Amino acid sequence: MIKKLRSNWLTIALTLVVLFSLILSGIIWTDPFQYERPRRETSSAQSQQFTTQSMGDVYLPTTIVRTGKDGQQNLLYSQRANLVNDVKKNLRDWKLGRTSEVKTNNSDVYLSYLRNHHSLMLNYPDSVSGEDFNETFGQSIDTNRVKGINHIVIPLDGEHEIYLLRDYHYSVYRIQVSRGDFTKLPKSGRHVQLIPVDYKIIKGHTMMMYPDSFKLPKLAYQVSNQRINNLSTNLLSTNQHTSVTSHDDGDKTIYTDGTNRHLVYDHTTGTVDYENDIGHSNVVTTSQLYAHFYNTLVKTGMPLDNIRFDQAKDHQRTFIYRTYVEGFPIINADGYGGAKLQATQSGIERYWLSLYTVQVPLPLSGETVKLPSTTTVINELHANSRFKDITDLRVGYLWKDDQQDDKVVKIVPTYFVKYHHHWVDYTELLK
Amino acid sequence: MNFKRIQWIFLFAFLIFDLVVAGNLFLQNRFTISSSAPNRQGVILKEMRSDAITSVELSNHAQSGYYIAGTRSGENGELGQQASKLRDQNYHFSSDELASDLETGVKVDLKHPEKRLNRLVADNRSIALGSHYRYAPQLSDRHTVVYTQQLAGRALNSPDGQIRFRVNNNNEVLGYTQTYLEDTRILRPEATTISQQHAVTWLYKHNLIPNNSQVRWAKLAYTKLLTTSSHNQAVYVPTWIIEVRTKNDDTVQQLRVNAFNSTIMRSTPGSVNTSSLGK
Repeated sequence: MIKKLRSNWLTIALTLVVLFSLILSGIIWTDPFQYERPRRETSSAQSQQFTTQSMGDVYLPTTIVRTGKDGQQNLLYSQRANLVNDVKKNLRDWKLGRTSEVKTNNSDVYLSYLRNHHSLMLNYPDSVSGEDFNETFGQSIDTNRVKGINHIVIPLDGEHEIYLLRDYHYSVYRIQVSRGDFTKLPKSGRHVQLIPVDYKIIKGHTMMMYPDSFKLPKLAYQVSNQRINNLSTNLLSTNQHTSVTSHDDGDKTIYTDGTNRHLVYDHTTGTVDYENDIGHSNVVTTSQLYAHFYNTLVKTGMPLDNIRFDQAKDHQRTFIYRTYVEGFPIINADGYGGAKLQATQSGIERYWLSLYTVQVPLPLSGETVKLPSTTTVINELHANSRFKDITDLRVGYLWKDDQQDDKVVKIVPTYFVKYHHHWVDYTELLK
Repeated sequence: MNFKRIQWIFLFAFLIFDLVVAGNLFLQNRFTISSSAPNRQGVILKEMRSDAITSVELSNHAQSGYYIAGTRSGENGELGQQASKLRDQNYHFSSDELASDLETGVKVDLKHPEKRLNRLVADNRSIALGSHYRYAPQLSDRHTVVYTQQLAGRALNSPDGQIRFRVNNNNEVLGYTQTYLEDTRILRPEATTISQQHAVTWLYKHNLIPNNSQVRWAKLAYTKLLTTSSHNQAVYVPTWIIEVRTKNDDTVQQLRVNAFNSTIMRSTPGSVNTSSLGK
């Protein structure tokens, strides 16, 4: 026996090695993304100077909708608990498995997933990439398969799978949950209020409708403003010793550093328009823009506490970021509290920024606003001749420009309609 | 002979394949993920050690907290109402502070004054609204024992919500002063704060911790961020309070870092005019 072993040891060793290689191939075959995981963007590490907000905090869902066993949908709203953050913390402990595509191009099937009975749904304001999802929730789903995510549906019937929904082409991805605690997900409770909502697909557009009128509080904030000198040096200074020069032109100051970059600061509105010609060869690919623009935001030095990714447009080359309060965006005509970043295919980067943001909330004596149902708003607008130019509708907080005291601001909830590519308070259109 | 050589070649080829793939699968994943932020803080902590700065063990866990608004309670407020239940003491109010003299002194253990005083504070005929306060050893000394009001599960570190017991040379408490923050309201949903380690390394990076010194403690508590002009309401924010002792001249200073946005806190809170919000 031993003799036989000794004479054939080479063959035995070879067999063992081949078997082992087969096992390894098997693992990669069944779980390919684990093998591909190490290739992350290295850029997010370098930018982590001293910002507490990581990339996963900026590309974060903003609302949570709970669908009951009877199909009734409710927006979970809280002035006290940070529900999205609670879910995020919970999901980071989960272990997700295989990804597969369920169905595409069928709006009826898609709607049934949006209205999945007895489930929790997290919603992004606009589609984010699979990498963003992985960053936020510490996962490693197959990003080659999942091209974009608008909603995360977590069924509560113990199915051990979740769905990622992408509005574009009505794609549904199913992800197996190998380990996850469904019991810790937020429910309605003492500090959580329920606002009835209804998901619908209107003219190919996924929309959250409010079937009943509801109340939201007015909020007050201290306005913090960044110094223009800080912002201009943050954006214009580089490692090379270029000097920044500035000159005034009426209400505007123009900063240049002698290269392809210049920045125009408007004194009257406190807004900044930055342009940089980086050239054809340095164009950032569309899929890398999420990380690239996050790094840009960090570089500007603006506080990112409540900044969320809000929208991508112009063939996904222009990103809009806004300040969010309790799940709703703050909208201001001059872009206060937000940023618009653009990188064109021809190699020009433009940023529209503002010096004003809100950070510190102030007490306000419990004033609330009663908002009508979405149908009421649409009917009112329908009677108006401008209805045909309206492409979208949402609830947000209005930061008015005409407030005399610029140290504090009162923001008021209202419906906004997208009118000629701009978000406008709907009451403005009714005038 | 020839067959054996082929076997050898195959053995080596498969061995190399196995090692590379297994290495990639089981090792690389873990390395890439742990290689960012924590190490950077580790480097700073090392630098601190080489600058002869010693420190208590610092936690790396992010905490959470709220922006909270509240008003000082006075004679006409909740504190005044509850004070009417007090027995065996003479009290009066001066500028929203209750000052009281006990009719009989309370003997306390100098090392652990809270053993006896906790019972006193829990009794609403001895101390008004006592259940809202907790013993704060860091703020107490030989002649004063301090209890701080609790806001959303954390201490309020401010003269706006404290009980200060006077201890005489016979280790007896004969009187106290009390302030209380009423109508406390959470202004914005819970948010994460920077970690203890982050706060200390931030101070070090900004040259606020001198060489050859000792970080004695770092606590997260609420402090006043700003006062508003409407009904004397103030806004409180979670703050890392860090006590640093310089070894050379034995001076002790307390540094404050806003735990939401890691900025140094001014000793006097700012104020904002909120009259325009009333419209």
